[in-house]
Amino acid sequence: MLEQIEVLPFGEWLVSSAIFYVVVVTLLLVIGFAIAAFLNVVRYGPLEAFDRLTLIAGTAFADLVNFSPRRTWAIARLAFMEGIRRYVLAVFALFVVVMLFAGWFLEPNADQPAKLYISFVLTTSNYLALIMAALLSAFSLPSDIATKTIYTIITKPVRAGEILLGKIVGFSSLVGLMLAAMCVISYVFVVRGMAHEHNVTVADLTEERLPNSDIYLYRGVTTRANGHVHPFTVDSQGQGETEVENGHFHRIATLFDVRGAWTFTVTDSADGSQESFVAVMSGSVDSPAVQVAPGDGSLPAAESLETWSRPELSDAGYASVDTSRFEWTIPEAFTGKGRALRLDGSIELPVRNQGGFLSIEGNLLETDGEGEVVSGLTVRGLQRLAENPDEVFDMRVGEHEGMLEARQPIYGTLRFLGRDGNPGQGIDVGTESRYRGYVEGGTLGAAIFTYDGITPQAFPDGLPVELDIRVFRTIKGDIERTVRGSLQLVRPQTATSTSVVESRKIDFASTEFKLKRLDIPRKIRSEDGSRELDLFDDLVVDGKLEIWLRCEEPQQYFGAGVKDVYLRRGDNSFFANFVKGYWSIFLQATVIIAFCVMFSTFLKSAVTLLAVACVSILGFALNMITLGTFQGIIVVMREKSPFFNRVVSTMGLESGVWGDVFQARENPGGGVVESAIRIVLQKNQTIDIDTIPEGMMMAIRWFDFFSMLIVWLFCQVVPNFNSFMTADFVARGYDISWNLVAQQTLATAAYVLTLTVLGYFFLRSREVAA
Amino acid sequence: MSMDPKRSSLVRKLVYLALAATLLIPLFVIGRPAVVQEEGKTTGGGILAEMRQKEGIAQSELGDVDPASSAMRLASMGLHGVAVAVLQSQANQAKIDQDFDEMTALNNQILRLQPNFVKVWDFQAHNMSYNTSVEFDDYRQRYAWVKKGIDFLMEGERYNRDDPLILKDLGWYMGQKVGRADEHKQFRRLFRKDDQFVQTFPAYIDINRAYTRYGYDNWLMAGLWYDRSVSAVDERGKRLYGDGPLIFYRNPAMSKMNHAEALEDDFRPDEVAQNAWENAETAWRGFGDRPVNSSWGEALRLNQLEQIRVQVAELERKLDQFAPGVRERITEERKKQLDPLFVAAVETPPEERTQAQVERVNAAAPVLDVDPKLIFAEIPSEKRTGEAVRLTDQIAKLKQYATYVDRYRNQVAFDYWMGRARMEATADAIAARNFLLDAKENFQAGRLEEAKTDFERGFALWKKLLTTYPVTLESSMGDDLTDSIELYGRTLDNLGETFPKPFDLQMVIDRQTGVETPAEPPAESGDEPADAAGESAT
Repeated sequence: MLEQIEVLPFGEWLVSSAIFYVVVVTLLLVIGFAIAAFLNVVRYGPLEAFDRLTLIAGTAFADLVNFSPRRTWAIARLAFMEGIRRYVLAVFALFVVVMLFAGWFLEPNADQPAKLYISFVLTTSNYLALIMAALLSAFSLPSDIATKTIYTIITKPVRAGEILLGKIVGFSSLVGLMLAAMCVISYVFVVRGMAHEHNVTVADLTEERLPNSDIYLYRGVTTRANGHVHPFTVDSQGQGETEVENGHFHRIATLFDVRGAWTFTVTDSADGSQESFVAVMSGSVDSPAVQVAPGDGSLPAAESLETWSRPELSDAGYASVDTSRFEWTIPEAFTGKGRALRLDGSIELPVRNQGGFLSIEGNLLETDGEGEVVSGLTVRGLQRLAENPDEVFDMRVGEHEGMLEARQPIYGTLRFLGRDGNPGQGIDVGTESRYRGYVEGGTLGAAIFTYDGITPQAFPDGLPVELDIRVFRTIKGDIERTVRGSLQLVRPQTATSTSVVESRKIDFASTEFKLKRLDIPRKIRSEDGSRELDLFDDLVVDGKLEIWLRCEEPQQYFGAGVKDVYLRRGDNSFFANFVKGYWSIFLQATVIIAFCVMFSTFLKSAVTLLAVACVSILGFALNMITLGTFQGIIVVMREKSPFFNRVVSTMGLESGVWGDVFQARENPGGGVVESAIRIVLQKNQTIDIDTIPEGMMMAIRWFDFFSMLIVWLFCQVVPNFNSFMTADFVARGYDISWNLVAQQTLATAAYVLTLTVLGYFFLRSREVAA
Repeated sequence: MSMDPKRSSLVRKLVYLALAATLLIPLFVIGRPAVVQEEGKTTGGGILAEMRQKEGIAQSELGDVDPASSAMRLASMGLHGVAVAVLQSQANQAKIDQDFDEMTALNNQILRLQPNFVKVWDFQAHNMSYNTSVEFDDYRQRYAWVKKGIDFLMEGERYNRDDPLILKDLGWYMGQKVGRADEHKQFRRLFRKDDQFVQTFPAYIDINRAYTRYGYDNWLMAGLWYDRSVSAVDERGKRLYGDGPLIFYRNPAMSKMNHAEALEDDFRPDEVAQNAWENAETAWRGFGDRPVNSSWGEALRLNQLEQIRVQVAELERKLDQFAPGVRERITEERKKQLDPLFVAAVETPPEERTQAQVERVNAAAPVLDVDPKLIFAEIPSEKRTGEAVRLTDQIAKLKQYATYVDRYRNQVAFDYWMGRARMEATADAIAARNFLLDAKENFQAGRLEEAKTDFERGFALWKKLLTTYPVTLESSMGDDLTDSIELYGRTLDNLGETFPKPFDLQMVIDRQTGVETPAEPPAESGDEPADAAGESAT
């Protein structure tokens, strides 16, 4: 699960990984050298062994110094050509076939179709790429050796290390090329799979007047596409957004295509004389064009129309309510006054349920040459436009938004306050997953997120907060309404700043399983309403800020995990993120290739495949193996064997590097053999096995312990493929940070380097390349 | 004999080709798909198609073959059991992680691998409609997931044509899940206008029959699916499994009852509701007329009880002629052993019995019932003719049958629903309900005098109805009335008046409190609790 992946800051990661790497490599060197020395001594006697070892060390050093990128590249090209002759096309064809049939299993009407599609293509590409990488590289070197082709290579001045690295580079570039093609195909697949179009019938809109105001809203539902519809609300100008369905929304814009006469009268306030005009309006609300002629209602002939100057709309757009300010200058020909008039008023373009209306109201201000007001005229007009509003209003639903994204979140740390307001833990409401803690509504309980790096540069316009929280009801409450909650910005308490500064509560109605976005402005009232706070001046301390999440309804609960409330710094390109996802796959494939090439220096191809399969399975199941199973046996051992317990405590294993392994308190039941016995005897994990003598059981436990220790140690050097799985990031629309990309790339490079060196010595020891 | 190597290779290839072609013949015979004729019947087809047809497995028809499913099963090379186990565990993890789309996608794959394993469809549909839907807080999302479960079942039915379990489940989800959930008001409202959804139902469900003045009704729709499940068993010879036959055959009629009940819950009772109750009664009678296989091995008809009782009385009269006075004697002896309360109840003429007395009579009936063998034993030996033996035998058999029918009727609250439907279909019932609704509205608007009058008019009508259909008292329906009575009490309080005595609906209060108010003075001890709470109506 994405929530549980923790990405360390790069520096921190680099230091800890580098130390670990050096330790492991030193250990490998020491062990390797010891084994080689032992074997040589047994075979050739100490003196000769010494000679041989120094020789190997000497040539190894020479090989390193004389390493030639050019020769490596030549080998790489060979490997590349070899690969093309083998499986690549077949695997690629398989991929295309899978893509063709995928539509049968993927539902575009799922709740989060993008997630489904993206994780499908990425997972498929991932497995195919890994399988291909293994098949490509496992057969190459063994068949070279078997067919003795290797001799034609090593008779050339090519060094063993160059052969290995060349093969790794060659195969991985081939896989990379294939992945690039897959990437493009699946990108098109996803984008096309998500593409859909909704329509709107204006006549079906329902009008709603906001209480105590003249503001009208219009509600409706789009047509069905990809198995879903969007309810939406637009303002009286027909501008708005749909609700989020299936993980996305659409913007709605309305174009006005006004046909028909629109009459209005201009009254001179000085002498009370009136004159009628006919206007024809067209264009959209953002840029209406008005043509006007003197007349009293009948549609004027086209040639008699003259275009008024296009009005400059000052605050058009869907933010405004139902009027747009404008200023028109009426040419003197139309005023009948022999002078130009400036019209300063408002225009109303409401979407009405029964036919469209266009109304205009304002003052005509007569100005002299210097812009001074000379006299006032009022203008008033109303015209019914058409019976069928769909002829007047062209309401357009835009492209889907919010689905194929790469959001850049800033996560905070999370702590909870209990119902009494004291620090505590999130309440467990009994969900199987323990990721989220719950906060009781109507109490002092809160989930507190602390963010770092909040600067005016990063958030010049305030904080965009996104929430993905869960709701747990203990009473039915009002079914038709979702549970209310609030966010509050609080200044963190530090040693230097202890004053309590809190913003007012920002209320929201909860949504579940779809992101809720709240934009917190830079200026916000304080909790008591007494003053206006500035986000950065009053609330942020050293770039730190706290956001308190509360549930506002008694007996209802909100659940939140550490990644459920985050600040959205901005977005990166989705395509770039998609490519990053494929880059992770490429890195995994490269690691597999490196392992294959290394193993194939001393194993037959089938065995190489088996070994790599073991490494992969271990790599994917690492999270389960490393602690869980090992801890099981340790718990039992410490309980059953006082000696073991003494060793652990005297060696201080409970703390330090081994701490999380030896402090285990859970997972009883023993190791492999003991578990197998339990299955046969039908004894569950918590009861003692009394049918087998205790001495025997102890021996079994010791065996389990050492076998598990070996597995565990091995696990420490096996690549953790889970940390390379970035499909979830892409699928759920989160940006893969460059930090993560760098970590993965560096780790891959380390594996390639180490495995090449390891393979070099193995190949040398086979004497084919000596 | 030596041969040109090139030719020998050619000959070998030709032989292989011929062998391959020959092998195609048995393949053709076995695998040829059936051809769909009119009315959905299939003809022809190879051995496999015939077997599929016989076993009722869907994809025997050409054009119905699902390439995705077949391809997946083929690709797993016989290991689809293993694949399913892995996918199931992943789906379960997805559910734990609340990744419901992932779960649905995995379920789809699982079902492509084993499309004819009905229990899996059943399980996963339940998972969606019941377990997943409640994870969401917004009732519209909940409704969407209920629908997903139903969609899933419909797809399952496409793979397993006429499977009674899936069809019954479809009725159940559409009825009970939509109509009985906490959010049933909202769900039913959404369902009424959900044209898009009901249009996806297969052609054999005539959705127009579930259309009411208010829109599509989920209970009527459920009834259509139940009808289909019944006809799958009755007409298409599918084996009935899962439910017992009694409950299974009750479903269609019951959904009509639920429909009528829900209409009165959602809207003001009017002629639409009245009509619905009439239809429900007809359906219920139909249910009573149909033979239902019982666990005693004989098919019962629930409607036959009254008729059998008349028959028994007639036969007993005939038998009594062989031993006059014996029955009366035995009855009198047994009465002496009974509590006088019960005897008094029995001796009260049926139309004057109070509710408690009716219950006592019912309780005393098995004691006072005389076994025909006892009568037979007292027939003088010279009179013990073949006729007497035959009568004794017949009475015993009929009584046994009546007991069975009675038990089955109790299981489905047969009498209650029959009485309820008859009562509700009367104009009085509609008027009574409307009076109480008016009264509540008046009360809320503070028009207390009007409220009081409406309450009293409503109660008077209810009294009449409950006396005519006493069986309807035994249910949650009484709860609605109790609410009204409570509100009536508050109305009187506000008006400064006292609760009237005697009160029209005293019987409802008695039933709720379990305390009997003596209707007439006779020295009955009032602490006698009423008998068994009766059948709860579901």
